[in-house]
Amino acid sequence: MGEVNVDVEHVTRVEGHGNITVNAQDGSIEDIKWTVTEAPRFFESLVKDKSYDNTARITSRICGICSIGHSLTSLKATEDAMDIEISEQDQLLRRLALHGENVQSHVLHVGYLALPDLAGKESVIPMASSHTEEVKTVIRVHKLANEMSRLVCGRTTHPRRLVPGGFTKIPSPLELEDLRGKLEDSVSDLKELASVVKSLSGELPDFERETEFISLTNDSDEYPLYDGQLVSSDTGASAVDDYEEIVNEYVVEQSTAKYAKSNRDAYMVGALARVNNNYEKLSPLAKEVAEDLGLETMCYNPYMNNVAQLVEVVHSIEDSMNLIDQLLDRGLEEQEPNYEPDVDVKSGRGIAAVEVPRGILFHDYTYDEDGRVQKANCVIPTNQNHGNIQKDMESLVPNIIDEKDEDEIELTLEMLVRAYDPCISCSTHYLDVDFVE
Amino acid sequence: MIGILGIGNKLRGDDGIGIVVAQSMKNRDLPSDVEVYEVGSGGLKVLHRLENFEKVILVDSVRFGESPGDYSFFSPEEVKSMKGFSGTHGTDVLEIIELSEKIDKSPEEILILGVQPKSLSLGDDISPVLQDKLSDILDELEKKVNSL
Repeated sequence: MGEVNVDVEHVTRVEGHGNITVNAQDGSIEDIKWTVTEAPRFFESLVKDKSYDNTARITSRICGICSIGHSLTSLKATEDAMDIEISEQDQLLRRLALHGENVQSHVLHVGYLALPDLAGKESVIPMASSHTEEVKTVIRVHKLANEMSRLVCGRTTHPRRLVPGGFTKIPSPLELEDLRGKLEDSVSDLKELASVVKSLSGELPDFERETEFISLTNDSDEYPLYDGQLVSSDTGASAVDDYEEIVNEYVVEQSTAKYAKSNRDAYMVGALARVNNNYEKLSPLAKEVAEDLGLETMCYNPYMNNVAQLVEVVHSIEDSMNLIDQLLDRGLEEQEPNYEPDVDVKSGRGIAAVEVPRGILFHDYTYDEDGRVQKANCVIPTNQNHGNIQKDMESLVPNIIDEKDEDEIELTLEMLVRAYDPCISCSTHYLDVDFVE
Repeated sequence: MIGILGIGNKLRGDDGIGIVVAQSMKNRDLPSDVEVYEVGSGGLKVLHRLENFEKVILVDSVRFGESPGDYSFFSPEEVKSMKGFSGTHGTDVLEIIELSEKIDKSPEEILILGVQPKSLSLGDDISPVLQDKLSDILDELEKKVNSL
């Protein structure tokens, strides 16, 4: 076939758009704006009157990258509302599922989206020519994380096996042993990744702005991702049930997404917030990587969120091996195929928080006596970070506007937004920066 | 090994044709060295699948200026010479193929079976005109697989 004519349409499956506007006149800044223009999704209305066993299925669709995290948060909120007990085995498996997603998402971001910035490449495609072995390493770890999610959840996106009360199917001991071997083998890849990031980390802008970090914490020595209580680096710990006092969402004129604030005018969630609030609970190798890459608490450089994500990848792989050891040591309790956990449906309100790749996620449902949703509230990590991105820009731009040309300012601001790994970053070049001279 | 990878989203009308073709092919009596996968919206899942096969046929909804339901086999090289090829999925399939080549994980041969869509509206089923062509498309795909 000779010629192929293809009409190009706008990409239809983007998760949103973000715009940066810097308005300066003779060196004087008139306006700096981080604008989110994605359309409202109405998921809280979509689940209304739906049955409790469909809530997680529906809210999983909020995000194709964090679908395991949304499912887990949704299930925990439903189980909280109906006092549904989860076995220790299922809790361990759920933690494993969350690690799989954490590695999937962080490697995708650090490896495919952020590293090209540091390597001075437009995207991962030219980087595959200049840094072939490094890109192969990224792809190997990403593939392993996908396999891990598939093994525990049934598939990599929108898990089918996670249901209220447990799992419809669990992996076999042999499958878990096989996964453990692959995780062990990946440690050399993780060290290689750390060394790549270290070699390029000098390109991360040297910018700091003190802010508030919000995440989960706990009284045990577990790095809290699946469970815990709320903690603010400013005000200390509080109960997840009191999240509305901590997360104060508000509407701004420039954005269709809500912003949030707590003790200050903005706060940050995500890997950097978690590492800052729970550094001591990281796995030994993760701490080693953090030290090697110069990530010390408290770190107020938002660009270091990329490094914090890599540290969490190492933690998740190492802790996954521990979880598999625990599961195998205690012996897997077998389940019949297509198992349906017993659930005693009742009315009530349930609130849950889980640390998903981009930060702390809240789901809050009120059910009637038939187990149908009467009210729902989902607070998404990316939205909690919008206010902090805006404040970072307001602090950063005055420092660079005289030193850098427009292209450099644009790249620095794009890298700032990408460092937060917002869910709208479907591609590395989605941002439009408008300068009005 | 030969892989048939169906790409698309069944919630977007004819964008789901790659998935429908993959699902239907699973019911056909294919040679034992042929595996069929639905890879949904594609992206990096395609990358991870490509490395498992010597030959791959990607089935996708592609606008190439023909009538709805028309279909054609073409190679990525033929499309690279054209400007602006892009599926409706977030990641350009051609970029994924290029990436797989650069890291030496690409199959020896890749073909794209492109089917011209009529409608990509949210919530629609596959258009009747594509439904009518489905059996032809499957027959041609089976012939192509057997000839590889």
